[in-house]
Amino acid sequence: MNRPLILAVSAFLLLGLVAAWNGRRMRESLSQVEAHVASANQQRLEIGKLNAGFTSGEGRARPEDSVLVAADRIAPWMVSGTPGLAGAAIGQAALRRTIWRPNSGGAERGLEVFENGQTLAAGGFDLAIVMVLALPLVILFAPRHDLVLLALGPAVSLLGILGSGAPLTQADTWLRVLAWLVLSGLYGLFWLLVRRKNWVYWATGVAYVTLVFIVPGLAVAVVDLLLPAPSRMALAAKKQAALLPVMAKTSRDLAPFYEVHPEFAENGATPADYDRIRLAAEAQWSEAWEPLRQQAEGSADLHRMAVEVVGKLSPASILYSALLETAGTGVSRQDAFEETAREFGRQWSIALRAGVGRGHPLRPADLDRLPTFRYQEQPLLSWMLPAVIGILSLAAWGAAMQMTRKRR
Amino acid sequence: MILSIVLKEWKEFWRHRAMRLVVLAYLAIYALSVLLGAVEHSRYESSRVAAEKSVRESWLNQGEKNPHSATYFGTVAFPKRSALSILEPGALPYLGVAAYLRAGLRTEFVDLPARDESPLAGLANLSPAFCWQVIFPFVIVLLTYAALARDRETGMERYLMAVGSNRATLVFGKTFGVGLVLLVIYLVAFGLGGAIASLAGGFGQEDTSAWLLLGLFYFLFSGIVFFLALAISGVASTSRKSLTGGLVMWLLIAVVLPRLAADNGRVSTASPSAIEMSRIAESDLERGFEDRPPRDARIEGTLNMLFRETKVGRREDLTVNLPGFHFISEAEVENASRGLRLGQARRTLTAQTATMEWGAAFSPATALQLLGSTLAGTAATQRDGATDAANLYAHRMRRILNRELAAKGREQGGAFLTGKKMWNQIDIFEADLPKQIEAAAARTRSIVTLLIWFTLTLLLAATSGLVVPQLGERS
Repeated sequence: MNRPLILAVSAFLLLGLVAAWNGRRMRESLSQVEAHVASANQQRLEIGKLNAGFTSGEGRARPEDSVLVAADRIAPWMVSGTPGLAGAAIGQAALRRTIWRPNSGGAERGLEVFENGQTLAAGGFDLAIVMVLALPLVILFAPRHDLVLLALGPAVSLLGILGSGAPLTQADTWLRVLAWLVLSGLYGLFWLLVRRKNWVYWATGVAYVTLVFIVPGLAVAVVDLLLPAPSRMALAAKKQAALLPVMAKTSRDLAPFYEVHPEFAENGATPADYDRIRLAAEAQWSEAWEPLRQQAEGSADLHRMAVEVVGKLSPASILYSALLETAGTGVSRQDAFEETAREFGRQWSIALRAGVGRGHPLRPADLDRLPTFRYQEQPLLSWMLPAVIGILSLAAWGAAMQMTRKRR
Repeated sequence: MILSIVLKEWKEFWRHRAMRLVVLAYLAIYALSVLLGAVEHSRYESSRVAAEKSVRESWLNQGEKNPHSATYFGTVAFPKRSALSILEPGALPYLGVAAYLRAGLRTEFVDLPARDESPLAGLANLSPAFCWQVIFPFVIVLLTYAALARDRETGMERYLMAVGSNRATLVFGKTFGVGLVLLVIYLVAFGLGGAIASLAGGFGQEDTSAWLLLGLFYFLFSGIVFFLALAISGVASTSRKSLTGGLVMWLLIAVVLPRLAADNGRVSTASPSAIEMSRIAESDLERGFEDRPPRDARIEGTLNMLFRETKVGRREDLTVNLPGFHFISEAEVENASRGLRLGQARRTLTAQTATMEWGAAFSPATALQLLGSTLAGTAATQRDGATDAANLYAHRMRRILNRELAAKGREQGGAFLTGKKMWNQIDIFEADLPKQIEAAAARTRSIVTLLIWFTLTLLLAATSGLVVPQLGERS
């Protein structure tokens, strides 16, 4: 190997290792959320147990005398586990990760993880970014040595993934690593074929910036223009309008409890009455809100899908999307988690109804009857499908490039 | 002599069809990005106005209700955007667009637009700011890489020296020649962007001043990239090496370093944990905080205060609504807790941004990002004003409604109802746009960083063009 090639390979390797180190730090920061959730849930449960065995000495009602209020105070927060390969492709994992909680009507997004919008807007630096943005530059401009350049992507990926703190004891992680290596190899092959066209330098540079920045940017922009994501402001206004008739109906029934205060029950009403009325009100609210939510989520999914489809016009966006899905920091893993959270919400809701039906405040024994949330890793197919589509799309790009070469 | 070299460079550039195409393509992409920004701005504003109208109607038409129940119905606040956000969307996709002003909820702007976007938006987002920070620097490299390197590669430089040309004249002539072309592109793009954004969004006086300052910072950043590319061209032995070096520099300056600086900010100080904040808020209310007693003691305190004020000794004899007073007191505590904890969280986020700004020492694009978004009122910290206004509004709303209950709800208690006259007493939510120039002036670190980078790279370009090749010639 000549000196400039060694220099280019070393620089790329260094970039990959810096990205892996940075990704590792980001992954550790992400995993703190899980620790906080676990600790908060433990504390809530302990307080719940204390309250469940306690009766007010003065004979006045306590908020916890209501099954729904007591359950709300111990309802477990739910969050997705940190993906094994998050350090390699941090993507927008911090942005998409939300903390959920069950309630009597099911489950809802409870808290948005606090993140600094300014740092999110600047984008993250990880191995996926190095592969998508820097690998083509090395392949296009380093001294020609096809085999070395072709092996560069997978080799640096492997080293980077090992350095990013991925848990390599799980078979699932290795499958993901394998998909990653194939994707980066095919991407490298595509750029190698571009290089073989022997365009003048500046034209190669223009091809790079067009395929890596302009086409993905245009894909997002054009879809934003023609099929925009739903307006969250409009949804908030619709939510408020939907709440109007529900509250008009239920507020009178809940009047003896000042809407949400069973401890101030008046006119002979009891916390058990509160639970019964509140359950009915929550059911009405779910009925009004669920179609709106589903419509908005559906529009957002459609928007994202359209970007993904148009994004296939650039190998860079194909690789980026596929790497995020492979790493578990894309959309599908969060969707899978939200589905699990909703299912848990349904179980929780059933348990609460049974609790309300018993007609007395929660007792320590009742707490054991409540379901426990356990995070389940996304199904294999949900990440493998986008990865395979990415592999096929990159292969198609490579084949197209090869065919245009033959014609010349 | 310099003037003739400048004119020759100028003419040669415009004769080069491919380069003309590159420039035109850049201008077209930039104009498109501004147009898309304008469409997005207009869509946002019309959606905001419609949503504001809708929630106001919902509020006024909520029918008769107990005033305390109305605090659970509440309303929703939506933040405004400046016209300059068309050019510099900054952190907007990562800032919430709706604050639910209801009792029992955190009053922050939630529902981040970026959450509904494809993750691809994190790779390349064709905003005008992205064009200035990433695409234009690439164009600069493309137009500059051959400036000095090609003449050296082809032997033209030696020839010109042999016929009596002065090196300084050659270097400055080439520099001004390419610089003039870039200046024209810069002025056209900047003017075009400003014109479209002003027409679409309606620039106010603050916007116009901010836009002019933005132009200055774009100029400084573009100058930095130009001088670096020129310095590389000055030392590279071939134009291929110059282009490769220029692209590596571009990748580092425009892509890698700003991202690293941002990540460094994020991990330097752990982001406030939402769950921890929620836990602390619950604990504040239950167990008290600072000089606030626990909930039971507060309830007892309110009761005793009422006994003293109304000169009675039993609950049954009270002539006011006890829960109403309790709600007033609890809302005050919640508000104080929220203010305290939000302040702590903000300090953490400010520390992260400060660390990111220190990173600008290595990455002028970071300085440009921070200055650009601050000038456009789209920096993350500039949402704090709207959040404070929303908190104040929510607190006032609860206080007015709970006071109504406390004063008039003795007889009927929870069954006490009030109606439209009361709802009308709650004004429409209004939050001013953030101060743009004032906030940007506070970013002295970023301004100084850009100026230092500009000066140093200017010196570097001059040094490499004039000194390094002479050393090379001797060898």
